[in-house]
Amino acid sequence: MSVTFGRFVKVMSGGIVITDALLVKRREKTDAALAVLEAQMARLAAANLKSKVLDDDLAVLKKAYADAASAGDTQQSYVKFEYVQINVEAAAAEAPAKVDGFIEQAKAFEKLRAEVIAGVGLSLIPIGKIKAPALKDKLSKELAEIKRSAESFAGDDADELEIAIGKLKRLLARTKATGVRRAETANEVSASILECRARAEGIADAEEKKQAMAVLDDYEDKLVEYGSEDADKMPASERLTQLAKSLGAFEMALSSPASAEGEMLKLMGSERFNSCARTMYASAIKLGANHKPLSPGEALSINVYMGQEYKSMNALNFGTLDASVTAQQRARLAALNDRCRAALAKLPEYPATAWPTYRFERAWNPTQVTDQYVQGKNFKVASFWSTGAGCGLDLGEGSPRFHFTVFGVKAGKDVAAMAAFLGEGGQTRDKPRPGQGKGEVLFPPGTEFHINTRVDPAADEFLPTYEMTVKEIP
Amino acid sequence: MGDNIATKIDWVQRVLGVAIAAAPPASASEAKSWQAARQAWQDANDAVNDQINALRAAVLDRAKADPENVDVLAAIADKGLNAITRDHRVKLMASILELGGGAPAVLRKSGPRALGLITAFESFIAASEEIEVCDGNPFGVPVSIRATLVPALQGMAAALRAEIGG
Repeated sequence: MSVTFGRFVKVMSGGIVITDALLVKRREKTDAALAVLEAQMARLAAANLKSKVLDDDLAVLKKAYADAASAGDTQQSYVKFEYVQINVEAAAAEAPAKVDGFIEQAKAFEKLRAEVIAGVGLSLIPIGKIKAPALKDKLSKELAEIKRSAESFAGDDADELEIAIGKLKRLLARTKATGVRRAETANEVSASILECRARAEGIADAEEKKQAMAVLDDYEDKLVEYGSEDADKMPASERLTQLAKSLGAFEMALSSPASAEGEMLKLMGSERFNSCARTMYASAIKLGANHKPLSPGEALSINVYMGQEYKSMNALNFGTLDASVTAQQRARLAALNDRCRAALAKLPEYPATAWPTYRFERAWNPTQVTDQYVQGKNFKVASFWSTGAGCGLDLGEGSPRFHFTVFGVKAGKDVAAMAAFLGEGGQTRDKPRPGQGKGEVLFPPGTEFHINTRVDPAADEFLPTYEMTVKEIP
Repeated sequence: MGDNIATKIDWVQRVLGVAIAAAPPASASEAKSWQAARQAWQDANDAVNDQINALRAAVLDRAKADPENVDVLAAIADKGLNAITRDHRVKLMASILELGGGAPAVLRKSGPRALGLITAFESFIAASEEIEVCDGNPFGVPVSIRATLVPALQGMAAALRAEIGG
């Protein structure tokens, strides 16, 4: 009997002998693995799913199988079948788990799709009750789009199921956000705008009235803007809450001019009052905090100091206000100072466990190093004194620099929830201490401190910094 | 290879370094039996050489047309086919030359060793896979190493046994 070329070469070159029986055995094993693989593909098809990845893998293996089967002689065929067998067996070993996973994903996908579509239906009810037509129209369109997206997913492409599930989850979150609470808050804002408009009609001063109406127009626009989701911003429900709270403060100010809110409105004007109120409530919402026990107007008086007014309010306290500042403006600043101080006094004490706080200060007086900030001496702050709960904020430009580690007792108050800008002094390098604030801790003018320690900078320090530890004298 | 004893002795001495003493003359009957078996072996051996040469030519032809296997085919043609009977043929050749014309004294002295070599060669041929694949080579070259050598070996063995009683 004639031997194959492969066997001849193998034997004559010292290799192993491949018999027809060995080849048949290998081919049988490959066939068995291929049958397992095809059975899994049939399971997938029975679940109305298809996987291009698995289809392509199988096609490649079948092509390799055909190639191995048509090889010229036993040796070549055997070698080729070795590759096919290894790969088919590996694919067959993985296939059941893969197909199980696809089938589970398909079930999860359909469940989520049903949830989204049902969620859209449920959300349409409260949305239908929104009184602001522009917002109602926008949210209705948003919901219709969510439903269309959910229905458009084919759901039979096994390879894409994971991505589709992720998209459905995001749609579901959007559907939930477009829900009852948002509609209720939006209606609250709508009603408040109407109420404020009625109140603003009664403002005697034409200019003030015009400004108040412009502010309310702005609220109308913001209601539509804030009422729909924006991935880059706070959730719509939170932004609507922010609107509702600031508008609530405005409504109080308009309805009761003698209240803290009314007084602040007089001092700030409608536009500033509302823009400050919105930033303040945004901070509080982001921190998950509230302003208790302060009223909105009192909280706003602290926010004003923490925003753009701090320089002029401090200048008044330092006696460094420009001579061109009118008596009326001075009186306004004095009132803002008084209100801020009074509001601070109302806030609860900063927890004893949360001290120290930190502060940077740049030298503004040549005698500070020699006379004022001397170890063992006391000093009294002339104006509000900002410290950070976790770190100091170095905004100055002079030299040298003082870095205070501050141990307060009673006067310093956590004002993070009133912040105009979040994060001032809130960052902390170490694990936060119990009760530690998330931003600024503010001391009122007149607070006295004792300088416990002062470590002077090295002579060659680029930015000479005096490290000081101070303790409040209650 | 023809029946030129002097030439064969010369070849064995040159290639293998084996010194072979000139054999004493044999009786007429002894010589006839042994010489016939030896001649048959030498004919078979020549025939196998021709077959292997034809197979070598076919392997080299295939190598020219099969770049993927050119190296392995060249190695087979160059070394594999030459070594197909290992060292059995060379050792046996030396032993046969030593036996010379088949004188009884020489046969009794060196016959047992030759018989051992013949038996070993026969066993090797029966088990050799190389010989099997050459006999059934895929190039269509008529090769029958096993069928050609075994009867000749068996003939020599029978002649020797008859003389030495093995």
